[in-house]
Amino acid sequence: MRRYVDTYLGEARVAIQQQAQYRIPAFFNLAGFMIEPVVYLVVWRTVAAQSGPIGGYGVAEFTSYYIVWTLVRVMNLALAPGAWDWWIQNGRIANELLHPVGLYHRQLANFAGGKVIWMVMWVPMALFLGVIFRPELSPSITEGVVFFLAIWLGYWIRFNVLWLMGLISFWTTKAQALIEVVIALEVLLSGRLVPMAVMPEWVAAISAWLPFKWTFQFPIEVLIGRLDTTEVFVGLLTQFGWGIGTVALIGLIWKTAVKRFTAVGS
Amino acid sequence: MSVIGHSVRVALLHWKIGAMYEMQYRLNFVLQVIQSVVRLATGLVAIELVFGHTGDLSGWTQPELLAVLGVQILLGGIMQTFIIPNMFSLMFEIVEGDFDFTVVRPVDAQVFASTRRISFWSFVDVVLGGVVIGWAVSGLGTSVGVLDALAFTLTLVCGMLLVYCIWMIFTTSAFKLINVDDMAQLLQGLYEAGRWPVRIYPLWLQGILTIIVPLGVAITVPAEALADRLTPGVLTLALAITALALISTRAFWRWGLKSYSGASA
Repeated sequence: MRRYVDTYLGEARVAIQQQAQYRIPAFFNLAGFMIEPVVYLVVWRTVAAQSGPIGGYGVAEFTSYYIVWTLVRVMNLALAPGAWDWWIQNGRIANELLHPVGLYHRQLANFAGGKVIWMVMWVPMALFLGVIFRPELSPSITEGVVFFLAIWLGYWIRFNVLWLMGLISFWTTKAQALIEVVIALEVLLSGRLVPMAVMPEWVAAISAWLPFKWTFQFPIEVLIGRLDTTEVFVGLLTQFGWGIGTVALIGLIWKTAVKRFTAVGS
Repeated sequence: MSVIGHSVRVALLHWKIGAMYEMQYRLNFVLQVIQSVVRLATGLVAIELVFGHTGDLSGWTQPELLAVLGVQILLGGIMQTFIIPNMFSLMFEIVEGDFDFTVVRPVDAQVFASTRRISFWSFVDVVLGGVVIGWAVSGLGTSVGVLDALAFTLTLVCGMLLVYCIWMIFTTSAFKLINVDDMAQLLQGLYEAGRWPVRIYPLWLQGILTIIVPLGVAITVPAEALADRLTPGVLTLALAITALALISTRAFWRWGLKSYSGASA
């Protein structure tokens, strides 16, 4: 256990130093990620201003939702599945497999560490958006604590889902189309495009049974105070369940996947 | 042969070779179709959701928004097919010092660096964008006249040139900033913002998408031509911005090239 804690702290420290070294690219990269919620925010504020509240979301609620969305987006950034194609095609994964600590742990810690710098960069962007759009946010301390827990669990689930997508590269280097389908499902069913309250009921019902909603909408709704105590409790348990379930699946697939890999030069 | 004629011939040869190379991997066509259809479906769902709750979006009707989406997909296809593969190659060559091999060739380095790669199957998006535009026009309720069609073609060409200029200026900054590939996410994000008419955004974002990174002009203005919303003033502005972008791109390229000292320097 001590070994893992040291590894996580070490990897996170390295990631912080790396991100701090390349501040300008990291800032612009992050700014690129911020545009998506701003676009949705403008569109849905306009719709709500014209037609009135939709599923309980008026102009103020949409504003709060998408401003918190920007923070959740920073927090659930994870290793893109496309990275696996490059690692495997170039044989680079051989180096990673020789490392005494598992690749999963190192990458999970690395992305977690990077978030420290991204969060620092997110603050001025959020202040700018706050001044422009004036969200009405007044979370309690309890909501803040639960949100903190929910975004880390959301990150863990999203990291695992993308990791599972990446593992497909051990079988085929043509996984991009499948990944595109999964990302589209995430956009539609996670609350990333719109809160599920805006979607038809049957779509919202499906989303509750998939992992995506628990990585975006759930943490957001915790902070903007749209959930009661039972919903928060059930949500956290569901997140934990998805986290454990996806890790178990990774453990199962990883063994078979690695057996298929033949290192370059072997 | 004139310099322009020679450059065009070199570009056509590169595209021909690139297309022949990619023709070997026909499965990629099927995969590209799946990806393009998925992205289109996501865009259509977003528009359908908006119009499930309102009759118009800041005065834009559903077929007009469909036209914006069509232009965005079509220009995205041009970008993925002809522009982005070249820009990423150039970025990596500058970092690695391999750009030496481009500079020493007996052809204009900017033309060579901008035309030697092609992602042939991404052309699917150009076709799909065209289909969406056709679908939008059929729903507009007004006929598109010859002048509208001419204005659309002209502004679409301006859009293609603008997209090229934006990417070229961004890539050229690698001569000074070196590692710029991470920053490409910003351009991708701004391009996605073009999926909606630029006029619905707050003034600061309209300013960014019109003057600093004129992707809004590149995408919204051709759609305006189809929707009979284009005024002579906006057309003139689009032409002026395109001319200015072309001149600035060339000047920036020359300035950037001067600071490249080669792999062995």
